[in-house]
Amino acid sequence: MAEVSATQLGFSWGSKPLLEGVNLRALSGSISAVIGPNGSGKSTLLGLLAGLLRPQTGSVSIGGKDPALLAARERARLLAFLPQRDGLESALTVLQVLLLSRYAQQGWWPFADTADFAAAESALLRVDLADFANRQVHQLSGGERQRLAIARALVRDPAVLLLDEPASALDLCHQLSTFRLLRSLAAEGRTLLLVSHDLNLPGDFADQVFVLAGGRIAAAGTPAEILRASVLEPLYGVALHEARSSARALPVLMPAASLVRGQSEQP
Amino acid sequence: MSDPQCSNRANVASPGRVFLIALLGVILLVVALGIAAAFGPTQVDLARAWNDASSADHAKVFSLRLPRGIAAALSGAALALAGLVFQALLKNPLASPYVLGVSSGGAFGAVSAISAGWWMVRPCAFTGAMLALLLVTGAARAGGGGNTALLLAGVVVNALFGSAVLFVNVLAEPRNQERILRWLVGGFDERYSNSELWLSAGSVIAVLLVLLALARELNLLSLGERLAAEAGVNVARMRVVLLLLATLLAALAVVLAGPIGFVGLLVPHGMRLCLGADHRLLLPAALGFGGAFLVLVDVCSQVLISVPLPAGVLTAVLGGPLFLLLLARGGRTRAGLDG
Repeated sequence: MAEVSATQLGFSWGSKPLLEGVNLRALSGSISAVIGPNGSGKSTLLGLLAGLLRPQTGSVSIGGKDPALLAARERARLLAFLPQRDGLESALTVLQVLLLSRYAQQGWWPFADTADFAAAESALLRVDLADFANRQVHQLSGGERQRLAIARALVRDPAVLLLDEPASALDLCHQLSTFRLLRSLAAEGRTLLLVSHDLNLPGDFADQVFVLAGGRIAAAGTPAEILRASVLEPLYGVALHEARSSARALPVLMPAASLVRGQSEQP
Repeated sequence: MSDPQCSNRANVASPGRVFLIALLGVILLVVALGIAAAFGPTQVDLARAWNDASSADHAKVFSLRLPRGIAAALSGAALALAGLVFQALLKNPLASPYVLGVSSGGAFGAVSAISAGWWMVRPCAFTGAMLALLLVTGAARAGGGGNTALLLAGVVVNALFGSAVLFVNVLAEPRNQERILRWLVGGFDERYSNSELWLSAGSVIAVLLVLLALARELNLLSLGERLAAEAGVNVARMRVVLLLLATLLAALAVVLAGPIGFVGLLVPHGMRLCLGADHRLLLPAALGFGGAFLVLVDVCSQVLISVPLPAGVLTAVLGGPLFLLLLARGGRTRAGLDG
């Protein structure tokens, strides 16, 4: 499988720096979560790691290779990138889309073979979409599309998965099943790096957490070290409350009622 | 009870389904050509035409009507194929084969040749179409590439060549102006040489075979360039290849018939409603169904009223209402417009 690393990564749009001096390392078989306020550069970081953007400074390595220099097919076999919104609108069915997503695994023959069908049907089962195989994609709900996006990645059997908010459109039940699925993918030796706005789910499922703020890694460590009010309050500019529960090792983080730092509380 | 896996797999494109659809299309095309041979402004005795090679009916069927029908079939097939590719590539259900200025470029070439009294109207039309493509791709590249730049460049080049056509038309001698008008409406005549038809048929079939080999890439691009890239398609290269192939088809159609409208919109939409959005099925279907559609339209244009109409007039008259009908049906099923 493949380790993901970024060294002194920098990227700007025009004169505005979005990322500066970012260093991170994600090991095979682990889940790394990247959290941070809006505009901190999380999606840009994923784009750079996926090879969709070229860094202006520093370098990216996935399994020892620079993803931006790989041929499209080789990159598709090595890694899967799931953006927050993929804008998928099509009259093709879920199964047809999954078979097409096997493009990098296929040869010149333009039709699916038994291995393609097996991979697609296995992915459908893993994301709980087996009953939707013949449903046209434009008939799917937001949550079903998000599960389809994960299935599209699974059919390619990639060593690395880069996921931008993989559970943002999912109900509680599917959020949990999705994170359990991600955990099982990591257990198979894959490297997972995900961006999340939810501060609590990474605590249950991630092995390490990076906090991006202002385009820099402001904090990094295990969930127990990072997902604390004292660490995150200054970075998010919000007062956080730690709710303890006997059912959970880590406290649940939630914004303290309607308080933004610097504002006085009204009675 | 049926196995759900088998029923799922039955809906996916397979070589057998592709062959069956291609066969149906070819049968339809042959039937349409038979109708084109039998019906025209004057009556012919088909038995005599078949049995007596020296008869006037034989000459009428085999030297006039069939070459004209074959030209219509090739134009219809080329327009349907080009429409399919443009609509998938630009993710725009209203993209016509002429969206990148090929028709106005071709028109400029043809109108210039007619106005100058040259006999090489079709080579000039082809040159004009290719010139338009060069200008559009050059302007789109200068505008940063991408579909929006391409469409905007197409609009501008269309407008430029459209103005040039009007300018040449104004300067043309009155005896040439009627010919120019007929060419601009689009239609068929009986003056197609065998070499022109063989060359066109070979080109359409060769492009179709290449498109079939690239149908997966076309399917992925119809889902969006980002998704295609994610799946491993070299988007920049594939877009150029498909664009060139589709434009070549549109140029062939323009050369054979002038800028006939609506075929490249109607046929792909109708086929999507029947067959879904998989281009491995749609491409072979376009050959037969697009070809047969234009052959039958051309036959109707000759026999409906006492004065033969250019086929382009009839596609324009029929195209609007038929397209609205398809839109209404597509609105109910959504199958016709997406992907």
